[in-house]
This record gives sequence, C-alpha cells and structure tokens, in this order.
Amino acid sequence: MSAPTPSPSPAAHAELHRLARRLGVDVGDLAVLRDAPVDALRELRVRASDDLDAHGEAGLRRLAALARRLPGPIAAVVAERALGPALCARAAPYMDATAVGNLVPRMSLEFLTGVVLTMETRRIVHLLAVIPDDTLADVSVELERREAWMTIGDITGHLDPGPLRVALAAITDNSVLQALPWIEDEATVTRVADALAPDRAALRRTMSDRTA
Amino acid sequence: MTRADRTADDPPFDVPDAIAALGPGVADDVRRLVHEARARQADEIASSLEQALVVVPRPARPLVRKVVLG
Repeated sequence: MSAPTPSPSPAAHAELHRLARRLGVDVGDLAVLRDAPVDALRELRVRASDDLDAHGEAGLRRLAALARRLPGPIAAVVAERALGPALCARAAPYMDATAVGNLVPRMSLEFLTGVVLTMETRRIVHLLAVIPDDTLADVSVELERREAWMTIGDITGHLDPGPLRVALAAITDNSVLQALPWIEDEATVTRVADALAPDRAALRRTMSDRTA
Repeated sequence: MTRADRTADDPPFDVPDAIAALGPGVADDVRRLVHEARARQADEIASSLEQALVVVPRPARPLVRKVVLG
C-alpha cells in the first residue's frame, strides 16, 4: 500500500488556485503540480501570467483603447456587453487612470465585482487608487457575499492604507479571518492588522495567533 | 486560423526548472495548459473586438472599427 499523498501547504494551495484562475482551468486540472514547492508554483504563476499578457498584448491594448477613445457611457456598454469581466480585467493594465475613473462609476456592482475577481492585482496597482471609497466598500461586501476569500486576500496586499481601511471596515471579522490564509506574505498580514479599526483588537489578536 | 494551428505555431512556454524537475511529463503538461490558455485568450479577444462593433450605437461604429482594425 502506498503512502497517502500529503496535501499541499496552505500557501501552495493558494498558488494552485491563483494559477488555475489565470489559466482559466479547474484547480483539479493542475493535479500534476500537487507536490510542487510554493516558490516554484509562484514562479510558474507569474511566468504564465506574463506569457499570457505578452501573447494577448496587441488585442488587449485595442480593447483598452476603446475605453480611452469612446465616451464613458458607450465604453461602459462595450465593457459589459462585449468584453465581459475577465477580458476587462486583462485589458485594465493597459488603461490609464482617467479611462478607468470614467468607467468604474458606470459599471454595475455585479460586473465590477466580476472584474475584481479575475484581475491580476499586481498589474493594476496604479488603477486601484481611482476606485471611489463607497464603490470599494460595496465591492468588498459583494466579494464577502460570494465568499471570494482568495480575491480579498490578494487585493489586501495591493491597496494603499486608506483604501485598505475602507475595504476592511466593510467586511466582518470572520471574513477577514477567512481571507487570512490567502494573503501572500507576512508583511501584508501585518499591514492588514495595522489597518483594522481600533475597536477590532480581538480580531487583531486572533490574526496574530493564527499566523504565529 | 484554427485554434490548433495557432497553438502549433506558438513559441513554446518556458517552464521553470523547479517545475520541470517534478517528474517526466510535467513540463509537457504545463506547456499544454499554457498554450491552451493562450489560444482561449486569443479567441476571446477576437470575439470581443467583433462584438464591440455590434453593441455600440451606429454613430460610434466608425471609431470602434478604426480602433479594432488598428
């Protein structure tokens, strides 16, 4: 009888899910990578993501140009009815802040949440700053409703302190804890803890216990 | 160009050594997954650019056509 295969570590599990999301496959399709170390999975995910961006760049730039050159209301129609959330997310790195600032208020919450769910956060850091606080709070609540813990964990690593406080204030203690295993590194966990409101000291202690 | 043609013409994905070292066939499996993702993405972009022409109001179509066709 062979020994049971150990489960991937939580960090490796998270990387497998991120890679599956980027490749557009089910995480079960990545069973061959089950024993891969987390650093190797991270390198693969970044390399695969960069590869797909490079291969799609010409087309994605054209999609982004539509957002820049069309009037805001029409660009929003194109985004929601022609592109869909996943392609919007991939075209976003090629949009400037002005175009994104015109688009975001015109998108439905459901669509915008879909964009956030599929975006490669590290490539759109420059755009997160233009999302209004109330929209960010609404999206955070919607992500919480969908139990999108991986996405919540991912975006916490890329939000500036102000927007991070807004996002965290919008969700419950339990949701912060659910997202905790999906946060990429210890420094981000510390940032999240520091951004919590003073009256959430119990949550801060629980986070500290779980990551100790 | 079909998806299969495009995949065959694509430059191979450079699989990290630490992944290839996991065992025989792993690099090939990963390469196949990435190539399929490339093809899916190309199809989605092409389809969306065509769809953009359909969903915009008629007066905006010349501008969209110009952007779409480059």
